[in-house]
Amino acid sequence: MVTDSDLLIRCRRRDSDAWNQLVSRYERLVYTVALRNGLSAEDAADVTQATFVALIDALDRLRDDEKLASWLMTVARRQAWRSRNLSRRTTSLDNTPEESSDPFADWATTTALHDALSTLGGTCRDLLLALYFEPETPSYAEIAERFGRSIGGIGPLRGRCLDKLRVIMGEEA
Amino acid sequence: MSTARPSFTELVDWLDGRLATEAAEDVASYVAVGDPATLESVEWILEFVSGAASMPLQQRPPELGLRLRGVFDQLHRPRQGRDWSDAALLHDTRSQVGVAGVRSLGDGGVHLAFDSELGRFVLDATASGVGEVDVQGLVMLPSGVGGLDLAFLERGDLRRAVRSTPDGRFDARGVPVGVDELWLTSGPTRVRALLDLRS
Repeated sequence: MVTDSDLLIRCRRRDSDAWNQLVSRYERLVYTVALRNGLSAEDAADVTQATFVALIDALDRLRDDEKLASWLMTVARRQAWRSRNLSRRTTSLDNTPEESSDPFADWATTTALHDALSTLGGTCRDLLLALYFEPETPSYAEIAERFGRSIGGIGPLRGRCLDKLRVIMGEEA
Repeated sequence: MSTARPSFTELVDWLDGRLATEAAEDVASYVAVGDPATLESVEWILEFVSGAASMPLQQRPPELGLRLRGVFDQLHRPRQGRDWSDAALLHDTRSQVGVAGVRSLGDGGVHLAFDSELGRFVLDATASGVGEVDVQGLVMLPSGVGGLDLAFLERGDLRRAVRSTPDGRFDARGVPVGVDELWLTSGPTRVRALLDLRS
């Protein structure tokens, strides 16, 4: 399995393929964080791009390559706040939305979960994302087809993956 | 009632309603007894499912994926091709020569104004550390353009990269004072400006 650290090392050597893999791994997560912070689709896309540009900027200064997921989520959240504040300055008072409550009641847990999923990596990470993080939960048949496995094999694999994730989160706690 | 402790996978399937009736009753009976290890597993699974459900991952727009993949090369690739244009320096506070109405910095910092294909832009560079400056600026973008990407380079190597806000403001902290070039990219339009940030 190619880890985030491996990809970051390659990105520091200007490897575009490694960059594309990182983008594939995290673009939905960053975009979702931006959306969940109250932005329109257009603004969320802009914040997502700003977050990945910030990653390029910070490649040589990242403190912990293993925590890339939470780093991206935190930067996206800050960028989203900035974008919202900017929007408020240019929106008439009549159209200013009410202050919304924090969409992440337990931000630390959410970021720790995604860092643990990154550490888990590989098929297990992809499977758990497909089973638990899709807005419309796909059926086992769809999942089995997507992962090239039998329907009967998905349940046991899911159990093993979750158990591994639990161990990782226990170690990182 | 079954006396065998259910496996972790069985607990997952049980909580997901995927066990046959009899097997589900066995697991329920075991959980009801209150075995601490089993209860801990059940609690963890429920927390995980709840945490995952609290933030389902949305699909990003297709064109965003292309932009995100292209930005890496865009900020690193050496200047080439015919789709670049050069920005014209309008004002430099150090030269005291420039267009009327452009303010000067009184703190020894650098204030520069340029004209370019992307619109006029200004930037202020103020010392922030040994050999570093903070650069704040504004590109007067036409409405609806959205943000643009900026790359600060020193002898061809990327030193800082930032994306402007949709209204054209940008803020780059800790830029090496030796930076000698700035790239501004908005879609297919790319502009290059020669920089000298030394006070």
